[in-house]
Amino acid sequence: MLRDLVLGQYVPLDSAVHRLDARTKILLTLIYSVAVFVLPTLPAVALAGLPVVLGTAFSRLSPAYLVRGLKPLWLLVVFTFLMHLFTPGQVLVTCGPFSVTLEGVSQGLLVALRLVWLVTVASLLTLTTSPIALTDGLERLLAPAKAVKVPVHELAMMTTIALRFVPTLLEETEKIMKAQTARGADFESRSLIRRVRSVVPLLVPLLFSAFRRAEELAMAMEARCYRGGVGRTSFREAYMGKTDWGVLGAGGGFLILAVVWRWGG
Amino acid sequence: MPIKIHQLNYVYQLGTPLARQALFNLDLAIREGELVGIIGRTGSGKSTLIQHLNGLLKPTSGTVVVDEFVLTGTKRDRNLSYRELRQRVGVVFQYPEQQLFEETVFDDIAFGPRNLGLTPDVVERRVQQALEMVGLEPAEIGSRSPLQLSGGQMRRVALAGVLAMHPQKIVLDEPTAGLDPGSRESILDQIVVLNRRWRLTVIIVSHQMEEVARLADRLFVLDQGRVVLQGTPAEVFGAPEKVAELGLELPVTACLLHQLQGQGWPVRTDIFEPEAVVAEIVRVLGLPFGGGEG
Amino acid sequence: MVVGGIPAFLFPVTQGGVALIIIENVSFAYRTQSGGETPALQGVNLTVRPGEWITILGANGSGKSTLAKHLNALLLPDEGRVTVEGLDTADRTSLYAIRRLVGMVFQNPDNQLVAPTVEEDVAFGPENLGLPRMEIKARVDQALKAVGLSALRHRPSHSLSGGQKQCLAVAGVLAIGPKYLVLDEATAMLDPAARQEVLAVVRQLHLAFGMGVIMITHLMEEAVTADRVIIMGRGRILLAGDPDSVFRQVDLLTQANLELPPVAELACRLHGQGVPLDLPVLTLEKLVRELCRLRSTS
Repeated sequence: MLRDLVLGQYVPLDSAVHRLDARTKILLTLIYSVAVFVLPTLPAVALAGLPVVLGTAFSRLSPAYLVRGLKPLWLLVVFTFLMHLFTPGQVLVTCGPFSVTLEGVSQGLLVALRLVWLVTVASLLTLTTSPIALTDGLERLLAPAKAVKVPVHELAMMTTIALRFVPTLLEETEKIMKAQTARGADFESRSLIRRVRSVVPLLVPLLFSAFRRAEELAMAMEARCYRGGVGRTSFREAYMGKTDWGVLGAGGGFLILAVVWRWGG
Repeated sequence: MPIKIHQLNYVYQLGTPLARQALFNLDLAIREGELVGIIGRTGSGKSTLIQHLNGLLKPTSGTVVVDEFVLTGTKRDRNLSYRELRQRVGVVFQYPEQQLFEETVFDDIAFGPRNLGLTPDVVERRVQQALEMVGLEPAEIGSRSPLQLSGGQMRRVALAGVLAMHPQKIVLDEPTAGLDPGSRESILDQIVVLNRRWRLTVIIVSHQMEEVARLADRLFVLDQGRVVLQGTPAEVFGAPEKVAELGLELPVTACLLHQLQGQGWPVRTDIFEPEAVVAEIVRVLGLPFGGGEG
Repeated sequence: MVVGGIPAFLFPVTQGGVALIIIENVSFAYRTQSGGETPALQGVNLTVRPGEWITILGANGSGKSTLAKHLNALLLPDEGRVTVEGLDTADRTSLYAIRRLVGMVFQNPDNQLVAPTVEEDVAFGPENLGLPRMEIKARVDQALKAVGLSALRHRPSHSLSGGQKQCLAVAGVLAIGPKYLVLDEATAMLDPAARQEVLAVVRQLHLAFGMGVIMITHLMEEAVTADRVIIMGRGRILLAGDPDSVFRQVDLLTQANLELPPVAELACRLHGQGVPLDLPVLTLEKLVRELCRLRSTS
């Protein structure tokens, strides 16, 4: 089930989008998210799909893969759509005490579409940027916050380590589940009580192991001269090229356009 | 044949771009009460294979028969009671001490029997018997925290946790990995006891050729998801070129005999217990040295 | 300047001077939360010369890992003194200088890799040293090459095999530029093939680049090629010397809860049956040679 998740995955390809600096992509995602919420009407939001399509095309990712990434969300999208159907306005169909209105349909589509674009853009970001580049980009973007004592480096290091250990812990979870299954634990039972009861024999060993790992890792990091962010340099290249600035400029333009569309004139 | 595997294929993540076949038309049969070893290099399919024996993995195609349980990986398996199968075949995975979670040794071993819904006094009897089976003293160790035990003791407690399910067959994946020599020896002795005295069918998966050569009645050598060599340890290690080709190390004793044979010694090469090898060398040397010194 | 794959800058310490690790009368006890003390080392003395290969053998709880952690100031002695090339490990100002000199690889391959990809992990140490990016890059390239992992540099670190992970850990330490490599049971969790893979890398570093190796293990086989073998038991050094002299002391080894390497064990048995071998015999080649000699003279 977890393997179906597209959001959060990284597909290492060599494309124009992959080559953009992580900071550029993070900022673009932010700008785009704001812009999509600012855009007021259905046609405007529909048009906002254009950058998404362009981004996908330049990323060399298969559009089908991105669509598949929406799968876990379809229920949410449909639900959001349905929620808006009954906005007061020009009645299209009446069903008992409920009336579906034209405004409702348009509003529902608008909100559902926003959701789809946002998820797709977020997927594009993670699919084209390695997790570590993403963390690194965030650390650099947030660097000014260090001045007000935000532990930016520590947060970034924690994220990096988490990224490194997620697969290891998933493997371990699977292993412990199998081991406890051999002792009659039931993780697949339809009975809720049985399943809840099987959580303790899974979580306790997992926690123990996580603590042990944390302790050993801390020691290994110390042995490799780790002493926090002070005086630390970075192996990862971060370079904002002409393309980065160009794309960011276009993003900024898009945001201004959205603001003008909404509040201008 | 209580365990019979026929033309077993297994593909991980079937139907995705990441699909990877781990077992290929694998055939294997194990008799009741046998102690067998499964050997092969990392990635040869050993752990995939053993997970079929208690239904953790379901065949992509082919059949796995354990007593009256028949796994085919098709809809027919729906009527199968996996709980009963898992009780019949106890699987002890690598580093099993990592699955201990209760506050006391007693409670941890009781976890399995309690899952079976047994009454408290039956549970207690089973825990005591399981501790006895792994050579630990129930009165002394039952009330201690598993975390206070030594590595070797923790491993025995974990083993006891599976034995308390009263399996008839037990699968041990690398039972001695990471233990120091003392603990290793005692675990191996205990495994023999399980087989000889308690009449369990034992399947050991191991990288340690010395160990399996000593313990097992029969060996199965896996390579790339197939059984490529099987027979008694003497037969398997009697084919040194083949064993080397499969990326495995011969036991030192077998190595020595083969090298001596290469130097023109008329030695047998189908033995590997240290005592027998020493006797064989002494025989060929013709012994002007006499038996034993002093 | 590149010496057969590893640039000279990876070994920052100059020739001459006090180039060694000295452990003087070190005692150490672990403190439990309840205020109790578990003694782990008692009056240990040891000198490690540069370029030397020392194997420290001992059963679980013999104090060998505790001793290892004293070599790069991960633990500090309660009593006594540890100096690395003249730097006292108790002196906080020389902490990082010491850790640059003495690199350490630990037991569990999964718990010492920090970064999600192979090359990022090797870069972790040099990043901590605050080196310029180009230099980090050079060190990453060279360290990966030295352990034979260059082709896998972009792979996720968790996807490597156990042996590869330990080689990666060695590369991560190498990139810091140590003179001594401490392997704290680094092969204990590996299968025999993977163990050989890691040992081959370490041996290569030792032979080709004069890396000092301090190998902590309970596997006798790994001691056979050492310059010096130290046997530990209950927090003390029971026996020290070259492998031949150490493995002659069968009784003492049994006392320390250790077993002879398989070949030595076999030779002992033969000797017990009246075959006049000159014990100890540590390698198969020597055993075959000796037996053939005996047969031709009989």
